[in-house]
Amino acid sequence: MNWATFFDMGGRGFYVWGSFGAFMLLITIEIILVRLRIHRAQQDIRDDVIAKQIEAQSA
Amino acid sequence: MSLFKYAAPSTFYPLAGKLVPWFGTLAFLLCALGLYLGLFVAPEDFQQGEVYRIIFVHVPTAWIAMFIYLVMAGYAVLSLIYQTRLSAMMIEALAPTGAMFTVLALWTGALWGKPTWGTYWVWDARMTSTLILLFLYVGYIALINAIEDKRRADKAGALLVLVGSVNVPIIYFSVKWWNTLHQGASISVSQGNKMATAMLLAMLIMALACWMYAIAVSLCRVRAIILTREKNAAWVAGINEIKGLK
Repeated sequence: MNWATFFDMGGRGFYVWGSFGAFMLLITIEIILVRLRIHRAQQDIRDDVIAKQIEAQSA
Repeated sequence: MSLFKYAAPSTFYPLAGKLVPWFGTLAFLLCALGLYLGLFVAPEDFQQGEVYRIIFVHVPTAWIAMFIYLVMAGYAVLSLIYQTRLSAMMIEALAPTGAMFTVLALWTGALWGKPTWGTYWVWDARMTSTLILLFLYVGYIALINAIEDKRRADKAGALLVLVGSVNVPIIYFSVKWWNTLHQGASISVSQGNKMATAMLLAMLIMALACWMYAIAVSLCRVRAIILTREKNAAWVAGINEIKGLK
């Protein structure tokens, strides 16, 4: 199979790859955002725990 | 051990953590297989040529967009009747993914409509009701973020989701109830399918991949929501990710 004809998709490459591309793009973005969100939530709690430890030591 | 054991955020958090990689891997493998079948194995359509291959992302994303909403409506019922905190968190975790799949269904539909119908968009019953689905997702997200008190936000959100669920059968049956530009179902329980085996298989595998992906990503998101909401609970300081801090 020829790659040029594959990407051309019978002259409809723009529509086909615009669809598959958007699918891949949005999923990738969502995965990155969700990972950021959980890391941030965990970091928030770590910060709290450390703050409490420091408070306890200084008291 | 009862099933309700995992209805508590403290027990669900580690369970979800264990499940995410399994569903994620499954989604990745199914997606790779589905794309291979859809782009390389499935034959060209005799009427539409190559452009029909958009079906392999369009139909699965549209199905999952509707399905996620129904799952949210199920959690809304649980949340309103049993007042379980986790149900409300699951609704919140599913909504962004549902909205994303709705955007994809509309986007791929527009890109398919242009070369086959000659237009990106018409106010056809199915397309309009799918756009309303997107507004319901976005409306839910905006609503719960606009209410400061979390319990009231959950209640209002669950109600909105429940009322909006009337839209899902409207989307699904729109092609039957009205004369639409959008074509009717290619596969149905009563009439079987009208597609070649390789095409059908690729579409079903992509749908399964989207489903597994939706589970993985919303389980991951619900963990973040649990941590944020249960911030001050004693169990949170004891979980591994936090204990391992320096």
